[in-house]
Amino acid sequence: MLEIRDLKKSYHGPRGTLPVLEGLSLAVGSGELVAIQGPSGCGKSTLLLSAGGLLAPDGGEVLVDGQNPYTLSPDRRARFRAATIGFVFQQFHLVPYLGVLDNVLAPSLAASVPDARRRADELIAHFNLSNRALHVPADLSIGERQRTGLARALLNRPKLLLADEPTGNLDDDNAASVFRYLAEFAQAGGAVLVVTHDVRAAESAHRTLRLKDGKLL
Amino acid sequence: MNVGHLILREILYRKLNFALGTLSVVVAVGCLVAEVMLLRAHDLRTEEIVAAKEAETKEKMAKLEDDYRIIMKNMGFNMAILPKDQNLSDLYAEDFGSKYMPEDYINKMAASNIVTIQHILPSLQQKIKWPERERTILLFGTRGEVPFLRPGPKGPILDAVATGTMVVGYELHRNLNLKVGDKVTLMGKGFTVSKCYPERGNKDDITVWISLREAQEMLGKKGFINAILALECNCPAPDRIGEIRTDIAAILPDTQVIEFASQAIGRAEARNRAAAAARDAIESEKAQRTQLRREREGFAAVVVPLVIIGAAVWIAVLALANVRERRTEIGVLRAIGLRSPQILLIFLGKAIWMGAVGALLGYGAGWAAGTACGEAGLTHAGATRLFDGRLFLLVVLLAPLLSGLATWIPAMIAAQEDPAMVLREE
Repeated sequence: MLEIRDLKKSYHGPRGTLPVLEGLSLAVGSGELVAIQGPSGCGKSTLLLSAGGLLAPDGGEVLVDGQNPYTLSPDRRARFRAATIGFVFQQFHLVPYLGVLDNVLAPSLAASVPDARRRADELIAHFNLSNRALHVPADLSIGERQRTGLARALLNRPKLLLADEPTGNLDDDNAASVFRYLAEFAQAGGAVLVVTHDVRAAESAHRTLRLKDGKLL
Repeated sequence: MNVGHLILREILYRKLNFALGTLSVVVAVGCLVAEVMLLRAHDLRTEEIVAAKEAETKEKMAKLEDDYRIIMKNMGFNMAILPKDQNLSDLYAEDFGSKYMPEDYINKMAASNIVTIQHILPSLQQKIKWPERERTILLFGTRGEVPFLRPGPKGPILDAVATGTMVVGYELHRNLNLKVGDKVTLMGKGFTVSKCYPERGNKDDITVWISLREAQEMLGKKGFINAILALECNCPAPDRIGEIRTDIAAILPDTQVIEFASQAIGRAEARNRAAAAARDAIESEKAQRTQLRREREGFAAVVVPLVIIGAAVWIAVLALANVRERRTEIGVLRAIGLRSPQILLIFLGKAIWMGAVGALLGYGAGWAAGTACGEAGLTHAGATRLFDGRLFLLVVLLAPLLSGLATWIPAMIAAQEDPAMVLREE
C-alpha cells in the first residue's frame, strides 16, 4: 500500500542545509501496522508528511496505492489524499468551533463520501463518542479528542492511515485504546504507519523500526 | 457538512472578529448612505421650499391680479381706438370725437387674435346739453364690453348699462340730487337711475352712461360709434404702444390709437416688479440651496471614500489576524484534502457575510441618520421618499464585493499556506 524508495529530504535554512532523510526505503502492506521509533528530530514527522503527500522529497519515490502523489497537480494530489490517506496527529488538530460530529464530517468537504452522515454516526458510536456528538473540542477530554481525531481520519475509508505521535498526550488507558483502534484498522485491511516514542507501539505493531540519522535501522 | 456551515460556525465561534468587521462595513455603508440621504433630503427640502415659495408667490400674484382688475375697473380704460381722420386737438378740446366709425369694428376686433389688447368697449360719446336739467353733460352710450372670441377671455372691467337705465357721474347726481331708482327724462326719453358713481375727479363726474342703442337713437348715429375704449395687456415689451398700433392697424386700417392714462401702466409695472421680485427671491433661494448642496457634496466626496478605504483596510487587517489565528486549522484542512480554492472560499465567504450583514445594518443606520440629521424642516412624506431602492440594491451588492476584495490578500495567503510547514511547526 505504501512504498518508499530511497527517500531523501533536507531542510535549507540560513545556517545551511540540514539533511533529515538520507535514502530511506520502506514498505507497508495492506493489513500491516508499522511503527517507527526514534529520538526527537530524527525525521519521523518528515517521513510521515512525505508519505502523506504533503512534503515533496528531494529525491527518491513515494508510492501510495501504486500512485506517486508528487506527480499529480496540487489539486489532484489533495483529492488523492482525501480519498486515500487518513491522518492522526499528536495535537489532535480538531477544528475548535465544530462539534464532534462536524469534525468527523470535515473530510467530506474535500471528497464526496457516500452516506457520510451515517458513516460519521457509526464512527462516533464505535469510538464511544455518541453522547459527545455535539460538543466542541474544548468540552472534550484528551482521550475523547484523540478518538474524534481517529474517527475523522477514518471517515473517507482511507487505505493508508498515518499517525504522528498519536498517544503523545494520552494517559495509559487512552494510549492503549488508540493502539487497539489502529490495530483494528490494520486488521480490517488498512495500512498503518505510526511514528511514536511510545514503547507500547511494539505490542500492537507488526513491525517496529528505528529511525536514526535519516535511515531506518 | 459544507463550506457554508463551516463559515457560519466559525462566525459564531469568533463573534468579536466578525462583529468588528461588520461594524466597519456598517460605518462605511452608513456613512455613504447617510451622505446620499442628506443630499436627497437637501434636494427634497429644496423642492418643498421652492414649491412653498412658488405657491405663496402665486397666491400673492393672484391677489395682485385681482387688485389690479379692481383698480383698472375703477380707473377705466387706458386706450382709445378712434377713426383715423379724428383730429386729436378737437378730441382733447371737446372731450369727445367728432368722427364716427361703424359699430361693426368692435366685432372685427373681438374676432381677431390680438393679444396686446385685453378689454374692448364700443362707445358713442358726445357733450350735450341735458335739456330737462339745464346741464352740460358728457353722454356716453355703451353696450358693455365685447368679449374676445379667443380662448380665455378676461372678465369685464365695465358692465353694460341696461336699456332704459342710466349711470350718473358724481358731480351730476350730487348737484341734481339724484339717487338710484329715481326716474329722470333725458332728451325726452325716460330713464331710471341704476347707479351713482363715487367721485373720480375727472370728466366721468359729469358723464351719464346709457345703453349704446339708445345713445345712437338719441344722437341720430344708428350703427355708429366714435371710439373703442381698450385696455392694453400687461405684457412686457420695449415698444408696447408701437406694437399695439401695428396690431390694430392690421385689423382696423382706418383707425388710430391713443393712450390716455399712464396710471394703469404704472400699476401694471408695479405688479411686474412684484412678480420679478418674487421670482428673484425664489431664484436666490435656489442659488443658496445649490451652493449649500455643492458644499455638502464636496464634504461627502472627501469623507465617504476615506471611510470606505479605512473600513477596507480594517477588514483586511481583521482577515489577516483571522488567517494567522487559524493557521493550524488551515494546515489540517489542507492535509485532509481541502483544495486551495476551498480555503479561499472559506475566508471570502466570511467576508461576503460580513459585507451583506454590514450593508443591511449600514443602510438602516444611514437612512436613520440621514433622516434624523438631515434637513430640519423635511416633512414626514419627504422622509419616507428618502428610501432609495436602487441605492439599497447597490449597497447590498457592492458591500459584500468590497469586503471580499479587502479580504482577498489574506484569503490568498491562507489558500497558499503550506500544510507540511504548519504541521511540522506544530
